[in-house]
Amino acid sequence: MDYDEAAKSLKDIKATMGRSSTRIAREPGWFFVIAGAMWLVGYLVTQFAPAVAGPVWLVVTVLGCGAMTALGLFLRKKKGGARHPGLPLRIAAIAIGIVAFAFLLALSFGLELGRNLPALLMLSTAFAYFVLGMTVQPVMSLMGALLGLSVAASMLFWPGWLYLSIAVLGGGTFIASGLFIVLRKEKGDD
Amino acid sequence: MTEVDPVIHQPTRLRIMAALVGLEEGSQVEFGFLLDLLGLSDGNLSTHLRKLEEARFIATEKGFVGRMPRTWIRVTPEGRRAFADYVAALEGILGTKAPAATAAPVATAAPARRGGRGRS
Repeated sequence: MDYDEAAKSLKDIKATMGRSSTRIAREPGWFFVIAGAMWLVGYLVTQFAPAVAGPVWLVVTVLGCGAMTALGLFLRKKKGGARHPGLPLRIAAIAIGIVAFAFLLALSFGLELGRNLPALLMLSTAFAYFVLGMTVQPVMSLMGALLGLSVAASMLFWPGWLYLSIAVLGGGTFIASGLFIVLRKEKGDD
Repeated sequence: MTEVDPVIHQPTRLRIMAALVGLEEGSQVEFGFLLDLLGLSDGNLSTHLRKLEEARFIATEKGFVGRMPRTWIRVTPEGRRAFADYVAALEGILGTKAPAATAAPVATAAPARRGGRGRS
């Protein structure tokens, strides 16, 4: 094999590896979009129409969870999918870590249920983004840090608009990152 | 001239291996994933997969999702090693990296590892 042939082979290899990994990584993107839509609708209603927030949250949760379940079943059944044997365990470990973080945060700062609960959820989400960014995409760490700081600023300086900021910042972050995952070009594409 | 593993060296098989090695270790992809990604026909892909499986570079698992038959494919540790050796050999040719000690032509070790199975 000569130099040119080796160079071409190596280029093909890198392009194919990139396309393969990007295509697989797209699948979770729609889950983020659905979660973001749930947060956006739920917290906007909580901010502007608190009287009907309870029933709206119920409907949003049922619809959102239903959509996620349907999407999960579709992805599992569709041709051309992928299986990752260790993934459920890793997701469970991350979920336990986030719950532990939220618990410690509540314990340390005495956050009460009610208005502070959504803020606690948001800070936990920001933390999850930060941690995931260390292994998945560095930009997620940056998003997590910005999200955490924005929520903290809202809690301290504009507590009356906390739900609105959570709707826009939290829901927006989920939707933006989901769309980024789904729509990004495959690495091998020129 | 650098000698390389002839099983992996074939362009289509090289792309199949690259697609599988590009995924996280332990991940399996369904047959249709490779079909779509590489733009091959069913028969062509099956032939190359069979050759890679004979070389023990990949493992396949057949199953059902509902009533639909599915074939799942993953790269074996041996395949991952052979692929890394192949890439190291290429980098050696390009002078970007000295060929690894394990990057000796895989073909020379093949009969013992593959139990003397034939390949093309």
